[in-house]
Amino acid sequence: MNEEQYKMIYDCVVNGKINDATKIGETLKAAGIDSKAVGLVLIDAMNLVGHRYREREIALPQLILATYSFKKILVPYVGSSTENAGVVVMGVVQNDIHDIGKNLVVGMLQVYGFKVHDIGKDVPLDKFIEQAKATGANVIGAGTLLTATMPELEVILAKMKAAGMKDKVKFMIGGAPVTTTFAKKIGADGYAGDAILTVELVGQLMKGNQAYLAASEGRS
Amino acid sequence: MKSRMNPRESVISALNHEPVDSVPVSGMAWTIGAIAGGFTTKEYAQSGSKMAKGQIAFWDKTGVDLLHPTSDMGQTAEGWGVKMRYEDELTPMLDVFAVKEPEDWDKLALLDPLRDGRMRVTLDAIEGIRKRLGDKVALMPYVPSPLTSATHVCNMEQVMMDIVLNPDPLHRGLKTMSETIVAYIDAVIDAGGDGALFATTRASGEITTEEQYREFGAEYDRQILRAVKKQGGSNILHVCGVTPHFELLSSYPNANGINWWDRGSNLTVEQAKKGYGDRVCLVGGLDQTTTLILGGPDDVRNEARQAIKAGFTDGTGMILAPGCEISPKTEFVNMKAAVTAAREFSFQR
Repeated sequence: MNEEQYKMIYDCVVNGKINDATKIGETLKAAGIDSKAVGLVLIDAMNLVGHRYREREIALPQLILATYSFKKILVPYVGSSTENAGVVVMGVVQNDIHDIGKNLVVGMLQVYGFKVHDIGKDVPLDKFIEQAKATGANVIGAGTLLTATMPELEVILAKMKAAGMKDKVKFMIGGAPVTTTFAKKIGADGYAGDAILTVELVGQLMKGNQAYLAASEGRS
Repeated sequence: MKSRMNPRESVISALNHEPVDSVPVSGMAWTIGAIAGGFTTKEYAQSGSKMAKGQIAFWDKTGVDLLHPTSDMGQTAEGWGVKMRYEDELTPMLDVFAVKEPEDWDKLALLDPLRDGRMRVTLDAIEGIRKRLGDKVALMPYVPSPLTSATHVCNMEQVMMDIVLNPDPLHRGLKTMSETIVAYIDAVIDAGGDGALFATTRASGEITTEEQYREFGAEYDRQILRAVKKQGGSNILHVCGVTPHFELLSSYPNANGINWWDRGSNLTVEQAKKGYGDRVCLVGGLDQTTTLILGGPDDVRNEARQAIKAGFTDGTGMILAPGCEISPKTEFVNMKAAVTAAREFSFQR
């Protein structure tokens, strides 16, 4: 990959040029650039976007545009990657349609080489278990934005135990009202305060560790 | 200080930085009202009399000073064409959004609070509660701000992208929604309400930058608060998130109070009292995500005591409350413990 191609990818993601992204991906593929090389630049770009987001230099609009941009750049490469850093089932619990954070997490994990089965929002709790079994998942990730639906996270964990998968599959949780305290209290293996931290979290879970990664605001 | 101030006076006094007998308490009880009243959430969300009974039942069990008659996010959104999904045991959900393309922002209409959506449910509930409880409670229903409403009529991802990619149509939609919200709060006050728990939920740094919120949120919020003041109502701004734009919100000329998740955000009650306590009443102190659902009455009592010590230093300007809606699984005794603690610790130094 030459410098111009690097800058093209980097600029598209960092500045959220969503309308240019698909064409950039097609151009790169046509030029024979492989997905691994593209992925490395995407990670560079998202690292900067993530840093800016964590420092509150940018907010959700720019983060979403950056995430969509990198996903669109990768569209021509879908199915060609052999990389698999782990299998994750991700969803938002039933009675909650707030999926923006989950979508960001899914996008970030895909960029970092994880195979993600996105089961969507408002997901019946049994579906988390069924999908994890069907896909051989290493990690189940469940989130909610609502205080009212936080107790559902504990129910998923109970279902995992009842299904005999708790020792084989890690359980991570997230969402605006969720905290490290809550995650530890219900017995979840991991918690991350934002999409960027979730990549690190899943890496830790894949190594068999537990991890609770609060965002920089110092939430407990 | 007036002697034996009633709860309604107490809440309004606290919001206006006047002395109070003790720190007033809000339970931030929305869906849990259905549980308290023995109704399904489906019934509660669609009947003003059932919502009133549910809220009164919550008040009976806890003794809070301030109620927020509310069932879900769809009361106004449904009027703009959002399809809801009602189930017996679950909070009604926004199921199909009305705004799917940028041009749909222009299709939003000015709503009649008495006729459109389910605003009438809340208005009927307010009338019923006021009739039954009189001044024993203050009533400030949840009313979404224009930018919050935008994320109820349209997928939030799309709203966030429209801030950058399609600002003009979004502004036109926000303007229409603002006019409806002013009419709604006017009707709330006519029904016997004291104003609004005005949900400025997107005013937090992980959602919008301060600059973005100034343009897409604050401009409209200020217009509405100006109208609320003219109508003789009070307001509590409700902000979600971990990095609330507190400086911006507290600078609104007509803001009375701010409710935020002090236990989970980057701003404690103590910090807020020092930085903003002279501008707005602080509404918080209880953690709805841990203490209220995982702890017991003693834990709540300790948390309340600590919050009051930090936020009630000058004998006013604080309402003890959770940072957001409490879970329907919250034990009533926990909220009752908060009320008891507020009475006990307000003037214990």
